[in-house]
Amino acid sequence: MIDLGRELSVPVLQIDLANGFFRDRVRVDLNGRTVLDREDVTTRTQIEFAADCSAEVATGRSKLQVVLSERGLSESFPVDVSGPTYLEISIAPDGRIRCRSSPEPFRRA
Amino acid sequence: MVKKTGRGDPRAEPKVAIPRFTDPEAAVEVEPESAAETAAAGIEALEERGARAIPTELPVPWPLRFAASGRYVHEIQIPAPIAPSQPIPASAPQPAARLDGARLIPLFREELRLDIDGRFPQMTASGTIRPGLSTSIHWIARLTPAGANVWTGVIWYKDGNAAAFPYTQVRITVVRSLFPHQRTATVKFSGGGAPLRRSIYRFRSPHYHHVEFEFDCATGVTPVTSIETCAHPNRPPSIPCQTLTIEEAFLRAGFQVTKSGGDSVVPLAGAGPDARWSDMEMHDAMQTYWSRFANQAQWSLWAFFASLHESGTGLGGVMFDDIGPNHRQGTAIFNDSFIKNAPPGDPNPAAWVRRMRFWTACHEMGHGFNLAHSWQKSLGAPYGSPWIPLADEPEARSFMNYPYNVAGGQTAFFSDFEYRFSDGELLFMRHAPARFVEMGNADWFDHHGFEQARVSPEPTFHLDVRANRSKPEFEFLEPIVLELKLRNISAGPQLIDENLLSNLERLTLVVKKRGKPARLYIPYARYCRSAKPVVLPPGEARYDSVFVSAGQNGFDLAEPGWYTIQAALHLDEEDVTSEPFHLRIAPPTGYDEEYLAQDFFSDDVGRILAFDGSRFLATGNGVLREVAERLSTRRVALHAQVALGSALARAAKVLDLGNGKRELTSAKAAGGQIGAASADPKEAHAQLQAALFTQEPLAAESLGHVDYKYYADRYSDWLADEGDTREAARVQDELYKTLAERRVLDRVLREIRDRKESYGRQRR
Repeated sequence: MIDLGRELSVPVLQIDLANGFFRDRVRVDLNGRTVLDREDVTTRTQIEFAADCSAEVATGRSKLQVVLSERGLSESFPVDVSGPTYLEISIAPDGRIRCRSSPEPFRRA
Repeated sequence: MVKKTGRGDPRAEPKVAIPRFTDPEAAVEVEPESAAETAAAGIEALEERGARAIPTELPVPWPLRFAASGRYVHEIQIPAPIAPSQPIPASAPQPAARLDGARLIPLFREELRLDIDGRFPQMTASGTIRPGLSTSIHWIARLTPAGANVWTGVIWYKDGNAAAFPYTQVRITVVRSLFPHQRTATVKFSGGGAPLRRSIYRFRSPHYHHVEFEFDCATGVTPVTSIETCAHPNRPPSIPCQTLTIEEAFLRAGFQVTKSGGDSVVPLAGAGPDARWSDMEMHDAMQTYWSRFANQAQWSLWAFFASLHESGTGLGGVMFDDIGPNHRQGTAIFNDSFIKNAPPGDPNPAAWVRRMRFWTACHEMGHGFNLAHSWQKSLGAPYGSPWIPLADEPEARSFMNYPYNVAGGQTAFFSDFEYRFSDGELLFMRHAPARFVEMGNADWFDHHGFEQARVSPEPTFHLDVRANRSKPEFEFLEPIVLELKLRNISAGPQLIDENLLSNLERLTLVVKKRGKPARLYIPYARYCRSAKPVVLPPGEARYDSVFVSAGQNGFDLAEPGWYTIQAALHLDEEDVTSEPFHLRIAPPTGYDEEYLAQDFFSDDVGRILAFDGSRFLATGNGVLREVAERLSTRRVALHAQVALGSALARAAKVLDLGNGKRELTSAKAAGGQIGAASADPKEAHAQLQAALFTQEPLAAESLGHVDYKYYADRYSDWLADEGDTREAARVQDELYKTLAERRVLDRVLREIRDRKESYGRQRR
């Protein structure tokens, strides 16, 4: 895992799969390139976290696509990156994939 | 928002009235400090005769007030056998057992937890009752004061063999005393049509449970197990300034907290070369360094203070122990995570950091007690199960809420945080069945917290879960269909939705195998129907069936063994909860059953049975055909035949995707189209006839009366639509005969006659 405490010349996108996952097959594509493809992804409710990945990405706008093929869910999100960026992907109670962005790590306990 | 009751203010020193009674008839002063049982009965008698307390006011500090809350015990004791003074050889005649009348041993004990004063009282009583030597029931009642030292309430929760404990009301009378061994609580159980039951419990402890903590730390890490509550200026104005320890925080929650005495330092080498801790490394450390580690449930918890988790600074702490057979025994706090970063401009960063580390420790340990986060109380399947639907508390000032998640952020949180758990969490920790809370017992998130169901003290309805058979035993592989009966037990007619029982949005059904965690039943589909109000007269009932074997969780009822099923119906004004229903699944009787079980307990088969057939799930249909053929004498064959026959009775629409595509795409883009699958009347007739009318009593019992009639009606309607009204009428005749022998309601038999007559009118 990349240590995000270090300063990097190329921004790093940290992607957390957070809430709503249960034994899901999840694929995350960043600008068409698969950065995460994992089976049996399940949220640990005590920290609201399921899995994560990180990728170096150029500044500017990127496209993030999240696919849960077995549930028939797919969603794309535009991501604007100017420095280290943290994304949190969740499956909302209405069944839709949600994404929120932060310039700082998401805090869990 | 956590309520501030205003009671139990530790700083107050109220004047305490020590009651002394006068008997108005005998004009004799009755001492309350007589033998406990006599005192309890005596005081009750005096109260009933209008005796009044003569207050004698003395300034008595709070700790010496005669608090009544705590744990009480009622023991049934027998004389202990006297062991022979010397061993008797096995070959020698064995003397008859002798009993020592002077020494008693407990045969069994019942407990009462009374929660009506002290810290954060929940006005609740709970207990464990043993109506028989091999059964026990856990009950919970909400209490309201009903006089001096008297509380009454409705029993709103039961866990265990509730049929052996029908009571619905409690009346509790407490005898307070300066001397703990003289304190008693007399509980009268009433209601439910059972004779009154009265038990006298003796005070044992001001706490509800005992728990033990051990605080270990990694090399170079300082554990934070206490704070000065006034060290940081942002705090509730009313909070007493004191040193608050983790033990005290849980003491206030009602626990007698002790330390294991094994606090130690865990070598940093356990974290691997990166000095950060993975979950597996923490598990290993727990097993190695926790002095109390054991593969068993126990009221003991390990808290480990380390620098960082392998995931980095974003994780402040974790209850990492959610694997293996015994969850929730270990927690970790990461001192160098984000919790060490005070906000810019904070007036006392050092105190802020210490407070966050302290909060994190109590938070993670709260997970050890099976508490969920404040905002996720309602979260259930597939992650676990609250027993009764819970309300989220996103603004709660509780250890279980993230300070930075509330409105106004951590500043708002700590300005109003009294270092406590919420009332709902306290109710759970103090009064839930112990196995839900005890570390290492119920899995993480299973039975996490629960809340009082909106049970009315004067309920309008009664809900039953039952099976239409004399003994609740099911064959191995037999799909389980249960009957729901909702009866109007009020004095007047009630307006309800006609589809109330089939509307699973309003129904919570929990399935639990003995020895396994409970699971929330999640049906394959939920139906949206327009409401159709109907009147349910007093004493009348509505019925419906529910197929509980399988749902989105898979087959919850599959393995042989004992199961408990309970339902809660959520009406607008109240929740109606059924008694637990216990059933048994028998073991397989032969090789064929075991062999076919490997394919039978599949999602396809579950869906085919739930939806009464499928023209698409070919694999599942193949399994059911094999079941019907190889297990033709078993009840599962009837269900298989119903599903197979129902699907073939009429032509069906099928979505044909051709070869399809791997990536997600629209059916149109994949070249899909709706096709028609023709009916197979001959096969349908054979399957349905075999299922419904070769072993009628067996079919009615296994399918359940509601579904048996439903399938028979559909079959006869289909025959009538095909032009064979004579055969349709014959089916209704058979149905009538079968259900009449099973003594269904006259109303149902009239419906069958009416249907048969309608076929006759069609012929004419």
